[in-house]
Amino acid sequence: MPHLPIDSLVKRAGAGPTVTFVGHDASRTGAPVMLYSFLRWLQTEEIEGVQLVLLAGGPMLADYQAVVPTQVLSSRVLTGSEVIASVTSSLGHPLHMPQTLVGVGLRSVAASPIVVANTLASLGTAKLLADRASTTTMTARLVCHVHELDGVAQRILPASLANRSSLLDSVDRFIAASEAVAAMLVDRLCVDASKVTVIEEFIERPNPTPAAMAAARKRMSGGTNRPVILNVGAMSHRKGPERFVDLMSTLADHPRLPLGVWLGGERNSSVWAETEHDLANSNLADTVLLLPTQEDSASYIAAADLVVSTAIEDPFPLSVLEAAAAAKAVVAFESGGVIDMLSAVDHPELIVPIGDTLGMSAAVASLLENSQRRELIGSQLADWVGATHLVQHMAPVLWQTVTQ
Amino acid sequence: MSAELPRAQEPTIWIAVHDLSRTGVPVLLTRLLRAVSATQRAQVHVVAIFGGPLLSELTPLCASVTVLEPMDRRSAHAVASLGLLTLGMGRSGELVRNTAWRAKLARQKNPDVVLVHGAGAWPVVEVVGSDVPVVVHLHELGTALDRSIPVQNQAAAFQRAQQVMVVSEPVGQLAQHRGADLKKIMMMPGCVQLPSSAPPDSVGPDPVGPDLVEADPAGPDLVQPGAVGEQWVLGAGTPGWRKGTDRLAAVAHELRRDQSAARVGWVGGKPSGSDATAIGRFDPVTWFEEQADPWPLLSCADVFVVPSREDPLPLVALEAGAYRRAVVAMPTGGLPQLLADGRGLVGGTQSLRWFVGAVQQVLDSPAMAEEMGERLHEYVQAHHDVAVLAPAWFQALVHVASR
Repeated sequence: MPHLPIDSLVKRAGAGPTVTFVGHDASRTGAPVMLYSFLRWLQTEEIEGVQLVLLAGGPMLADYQAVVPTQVLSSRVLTGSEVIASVTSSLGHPLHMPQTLVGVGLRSVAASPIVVANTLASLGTAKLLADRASTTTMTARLVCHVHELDGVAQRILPASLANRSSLLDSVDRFIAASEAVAAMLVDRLCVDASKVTVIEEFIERPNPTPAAMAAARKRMSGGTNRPVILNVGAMSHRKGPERFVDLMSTLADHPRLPLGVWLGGERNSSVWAETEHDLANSNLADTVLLLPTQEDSASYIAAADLVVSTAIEDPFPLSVLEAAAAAKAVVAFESGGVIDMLSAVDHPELIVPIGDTLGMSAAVASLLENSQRRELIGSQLADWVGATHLVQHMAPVLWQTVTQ
Repeated sequence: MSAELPRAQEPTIWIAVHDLSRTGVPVLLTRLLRAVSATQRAQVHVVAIFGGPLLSELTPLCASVTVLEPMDRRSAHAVASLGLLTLGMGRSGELVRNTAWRAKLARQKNPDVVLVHGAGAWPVVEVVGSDVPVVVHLHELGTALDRSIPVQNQAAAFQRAQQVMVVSEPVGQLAQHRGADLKKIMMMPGCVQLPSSAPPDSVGPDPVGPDLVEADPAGPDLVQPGAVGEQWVLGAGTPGWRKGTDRLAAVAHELRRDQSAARVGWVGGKPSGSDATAIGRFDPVTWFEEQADPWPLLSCADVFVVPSREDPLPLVALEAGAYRRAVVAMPTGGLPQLLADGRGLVGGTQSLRWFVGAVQQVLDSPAMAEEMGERLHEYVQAHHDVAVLAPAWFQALVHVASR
C-alpha cells in the first residue's frame, strides 16, 4: 500500500489535536459512514491528533468513539439557539445569537490548526471552530468535504446570498464527492475552481458472513427463489421510494416474479407512511418489502440479485459502490457519481434519464432475463471498485488534501 | 366587508380553513361563497390559520377574514407553543396558542356554527365554546387526514361534529371508519362554475424556471400550448407526492420513445425541496407557474392527466369536464366514479404502465377524447354545478346552527 508523507505534527503523541472533523450526525447514512471508514484508516495508519465533533448523535456514535475522540455538541445548546432564532425573528429583530450560542457550546472543543466540515451541513460550526483557532496562536485551515448536490445544498446553506458567499469564501479547500458535486460548487455556488479537489466516495471492502447473507436473503425473499431487486437509501423523496414502487408495479407481470426490497429509513417517518400507502394502492404489499436502516446493509446487498438507485439527486451513493463490490449489476437514474461508475465499466445503457421509470423497468427486466449478463456486469463492477474505490485507494489522497 | 348586514335571526357562521393558498380546499370555499347571496355571505366570518393569495379574493365575499398566523415567520406564541411541545408539555403549548388565537378573534361575533372546511383547520374548533355546533367538511383521504388530526383524536373530532360533509364516497367511508356516525355524513362534492361554451382565448404566462429553455431541446418557441397541430398532455396542482407529479417525467420519456411529438406540461409550479429534479439534468416536463385561472392554458390539453396518489376529488378534474377535456386519471378518491361509464379513463390500480398506455391511447384517438370530454361535461353539469350545490351547502350550515 503506498504511504504518503504525513505531517510530523499528526504523529506527535501528547500534543493537541491537529485535525478536527465536524460531522452533522452519527446516522448510518452516506457521509457519516464514509467518514467512519476514513477515521478507521487513520487509526490503522496510526495517525494521531484527530478529533471528531458531531452536531448530533446517532447509531454510529459508539463506532466513532472506538476509533477517535468524539464529542457530541450539547443538543440543548443547539435547540436553544434555534428557539432564540425563531423568537428574535418573530419579533422582527433577527439576531445572530444562535451562532454565539453554538460558540459557547464549542468551548469544550480543543483548538486545532485544521478543521474539516464533513458536509455542507456542518460547515457553519466548522467555521466557528476555525475562526476561534485563528484568533489564538495560529491560522486555522478550513476544509469542506461536500457530499451534497443542489437540492440539499440550497436547503442547508444560508438563504442570504451575502451570508452564503461569506461562508463559502471562508473555506480554504473544498473536497467534492463526485464530478457532479464539483460542477455544482464551481458553476452554481461560484466557488473558485482552483479550490476544488474531486475525491470520489469510497468504501471499505464489505465482508458479510455467509450466515448473515443467508439470513438477509431469507428475509428479503421469504424463502422463495424469486429474484430480489434492492434499493438502498434513506426514506426521502430525494431517494425516490415512490418511483421504486412504480418501478415494481411495472414489473408485476414479469415472468420471474421479482420481489422488491427498499432498505433504509425509519418506520415512523411520513415518507414511510406514504410508501406503505403506495404499496397498498398498487397491490404490491406482498411484492415489496420495506426494511428500516440495518447495521449490516452489506449482507442485504450481497444477497440481492440486482441493485437499483431511483434517487433523483445523489452525489455518489455508497450503496451502489457496495453493490459493485459485491459484484451486483446496478441500474440507476443519471445523478452524481453513479454515472461515472457505470460509464467506467462501459455500461451507459444502465444509466437511465431521471424519472424514466419505464426505461429503468426495461433495463431491469432485461437483466432479470439474462443472469449471465447480470453476472458479467457485476464482475466488471467488482473489478472496478476493487481497483479504484476502496478506502486504501482514496484515503491517502484525502488525507493529503486535508493536511497539505 | 359586505354592505348588507344580516338580519337578527340569521346565524353567524364561522368558516375555518387551514390556509388561503390557491389550492383545492380554499378555492372551493371561494367558489361556494361567490355562489351564495350577498345576504348570506354577510353572515360568514372566515378564520384562516395561515394567509395566502386567495385572501384578496375572499375578503369581499364575507363579513370578515381573520388570519391567525403570519406566513413569513413564526409568531411569538407559536414559538412558545413549539418550545413547550419540545419540552413534552404539549397541552400547555396548545393553551398558549389557543389563548393567542382567542385574543385575535375576540372582536368577532360569537359563532352559531363553525364549519371546519378541511381537516387542517380542526385546531380552530379548540378556540370556540364546546356548545357551539360544528360541521366538518372533509376533503381528505387517509394520509392527509392523519397529518391534520392525530389518529387517536379523530373519533372524538367526528363525535364533536354535528354534521360531516364529504367530497366523495371514499372520503365518506374513511370518515365512517374513523368514527363518524353514518347518519351525520352528508355528500357535498366539489363543484365548478360552468364556463361559457367558447374556449378561453389566450394562453397563460411563460413556463417556470430559468433553466427551462436550456433543458428543453425543442426550444422556447414551442413551450406554450395552443400551437396548431401540437399535442399537449397537461395537468395542474401543487407538485409533489400526493399529486404524483414525479410520474409526468415517465409519461414524457415514454412518449419520446414512442416517437410521439406530444408535450407534457404541468400548471402549478416546479417541484421543489426533496422532489426537485437535479439541476443540470434534462427534464422533459414543462412546468408552468401557478396562476389564478389556469384554464386558458389547460383547455389546450389533448389529454388532461391526474396522476395523483391520494386525491379525494380534485377540482381540476371537474373543471376539465367543464371544458370538455378528456381525462386520464389514477384511481384515487372520487375519480373512479367521476370518470366511469366512458367519461374518462381511470386505472384499476395505481399502475404507471397502465397510465402511460392510457395517455397514448387518448392521444392516438381524438374522436374518443372528444366523446369522453362531452360525457364528462354532461355529468359535471348535472352533478357538480356550483349554482346547485352552493345553496344546499349554505342551507346545511344554517340548519345545523338552528338545531
